[in-house]
Amino acid sequence: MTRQANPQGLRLVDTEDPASIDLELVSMSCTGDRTAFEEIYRRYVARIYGICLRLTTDPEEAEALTQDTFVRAWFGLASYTGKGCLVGWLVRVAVNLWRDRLRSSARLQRLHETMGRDLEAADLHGKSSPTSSRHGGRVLTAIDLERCVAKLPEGARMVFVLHDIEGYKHREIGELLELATGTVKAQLHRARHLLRAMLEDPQELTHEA
Amino acid sequence: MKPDRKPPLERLTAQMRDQGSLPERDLWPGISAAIDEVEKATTIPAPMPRRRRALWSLVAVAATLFLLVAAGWEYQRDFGPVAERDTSEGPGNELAVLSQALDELNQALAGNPADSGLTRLIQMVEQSRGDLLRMNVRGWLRDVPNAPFS
Repeated sequence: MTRQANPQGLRLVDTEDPASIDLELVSMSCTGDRTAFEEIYRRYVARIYGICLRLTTDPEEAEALTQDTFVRAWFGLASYTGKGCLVGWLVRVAVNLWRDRLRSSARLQRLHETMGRDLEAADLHGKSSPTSSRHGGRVLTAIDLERCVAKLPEGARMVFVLHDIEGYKHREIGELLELATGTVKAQLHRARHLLRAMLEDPQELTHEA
Repeated sequence: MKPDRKPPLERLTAQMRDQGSLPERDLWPGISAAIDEVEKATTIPAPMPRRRRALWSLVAVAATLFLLVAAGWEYQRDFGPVAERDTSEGPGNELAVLSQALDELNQALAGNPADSGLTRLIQMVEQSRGDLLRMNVRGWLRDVPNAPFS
């Protein structure tokens, strides 16, 4: 890796693989090099803000959570051993912070209550699972899915984001959200069902959440 | 190129996995400022200067010695054998240690006259030295001709 000084600060020329650059940036940051840490921020802010926005659906809260994630990361960077990718480690930091916020604001309790009600409603009204792949002739994009995810009920959305997007296991999500693994699976099933239904419906795709 | 045969949800989820979105504003200045704030709030106070620590050690040693010698001296005076009562140099040594501590403290105070901690220490050591003198003055004056307690 080579470093080039420029007026905007440190810029790394990618002559090595991203994991090696990450490790180098981490070790530089651990010695107090704030410019190296800024580089980590620039590389991964979109990824971290993306997950924060999916979890919270509120841009302001997502910004605050992203900011806290990088502050926490700065002080805990020495605990990153290089096992697994850096962005995965940062995602874990973000998710843990978000869980702490849920717990401290009693939102987790409310989430548990609404999850129960939502599942009962789904049993009554959600029997017709869409099977066709028609969607008004439009080519669907990830942005369409992003909009649909934002419309999901909170519990189903969180479980879907953590499991299908971020790769958390059912058990891990259960521990994070203090839910039984069975409940996590039911919420995931429901989220997928609702998303398929929304993706089938051209009207859902044209309306903002 | 092979067409993607995955159902729409699975295909879009895979796309979404690699996608992020940038916040509307640059969060770095806020992050950097927050790090500064936390670091400032958690800074460990500067360690006590070496000279000051040495003085404290000296005072602690002197105080401990004083207590031990004073207790032993009292015990010997009240309960010890008559022949041994007059033969001890303990308080003299203790007095020397206290005097040395006092000199060191006064030198330190000269270099830093506003240090109230040093002033308190000096008072404490002076008090100890005064107590020691009062307790032992009779014994020390015994051999002095025409002394008031001889």
